[in-house]
Amino acid sequence: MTDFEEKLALYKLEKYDKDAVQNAVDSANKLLLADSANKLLLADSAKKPRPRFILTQISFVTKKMWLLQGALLLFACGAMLLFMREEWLVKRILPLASIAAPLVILINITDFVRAYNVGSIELELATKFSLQKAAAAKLIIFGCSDAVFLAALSAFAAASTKAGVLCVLLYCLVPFNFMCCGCLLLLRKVKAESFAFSSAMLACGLCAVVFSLNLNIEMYKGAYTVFWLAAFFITSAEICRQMYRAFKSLQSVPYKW
Amino acid sequence: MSDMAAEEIIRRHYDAIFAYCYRHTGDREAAQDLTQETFLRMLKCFDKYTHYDKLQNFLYVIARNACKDYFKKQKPIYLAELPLQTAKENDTDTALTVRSAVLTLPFKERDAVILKYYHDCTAQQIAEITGATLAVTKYRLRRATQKLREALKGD
Repeated sequence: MTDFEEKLALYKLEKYDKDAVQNAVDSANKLLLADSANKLLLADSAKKPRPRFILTQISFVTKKMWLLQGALLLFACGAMLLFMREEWLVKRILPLASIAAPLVILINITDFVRAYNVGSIELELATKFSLQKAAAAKLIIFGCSDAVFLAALSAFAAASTKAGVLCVLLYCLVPFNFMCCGCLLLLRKVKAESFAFSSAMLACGLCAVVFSLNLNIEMYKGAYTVFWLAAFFITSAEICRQMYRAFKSLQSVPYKW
Repeated sequence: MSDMAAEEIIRRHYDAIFAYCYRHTGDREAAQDLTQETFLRMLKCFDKYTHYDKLQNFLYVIARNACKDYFKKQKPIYLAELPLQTAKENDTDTALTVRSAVLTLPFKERDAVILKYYHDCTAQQIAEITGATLAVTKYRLRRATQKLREALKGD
């Protein structure tokens, strides 16, 4: 601290009255009580997230997330373009698409988990909706962007391998669903600080499993489609269950910064 | 906003906002009133809240406006009266000089000094709070610091 700053520090504060904070809280509560009647009238319109509200949430998604998602898509498509030239590599395209799918979640889940774990009042203030609704809106945005990503990836993979788009989409969705289930589970079980690391480990583990399975058995053959479908439906049901539990736990999030 | 959230905000930010108002007014009672007024205004106008993740800055903006309104309503204070009016038993001469030097700065310069030296805000943050450009904020800070150094010379 400089001499000048030391001198300025001599302008000391007086202590406020003991009940000053409580008085302020009481006045705020009175104001909120008086205002609640007006709010009730508006409550109906605020019950469901409106499209405009969801659109405003897009601005709260970090640019880094959009850039990473774009970069991942470009990388995956670029890799497929390269593989198309080498025939022996064509059979590696489907695993690549499957592996890339969980990584999409990894990119945007770190953005989501901050608000989820912190229970930020700022988020509620900025959106004028409850944290639960803000979280739901963000999930819708992420869901839509992931759907676009996977559709583009599947179309590209289908064009490269001459397989059906729906079939490729299924191959992408199953690892994607597995990653979703894992992340939703981690969201409730793991502390916010270690979430990014745990989910990265999960993504790596999943990629390794998909890759090793493909090396050992020819799991992209038609005979295995039933297993893929079964895995898809089971994981989808699990996602719904995990989502329900995650939103339920959002109600009990304490306010902290 | 729920009353629980409002209480949490008040309890968390009361000290900072009180300190800000006190250093603007130099008066404990007025600072308490202004702090309460700040939180009430915040509740009334939280629809305008756009400072994502920076609630404290939003509160400084409201407190700043509350202080401005307070000074508009005040009768003019003669500079010579300030130290005598606000002198406390345990204040040293230097402390009194500092106090009166800060309080006699023009509002905008005082605001910049308070935010920088007592609330550890950066010039960029001060610019955002005061709604001025970064260049103007830096100029105000330089000018205010110069004035304070002059006033505190020899103490």
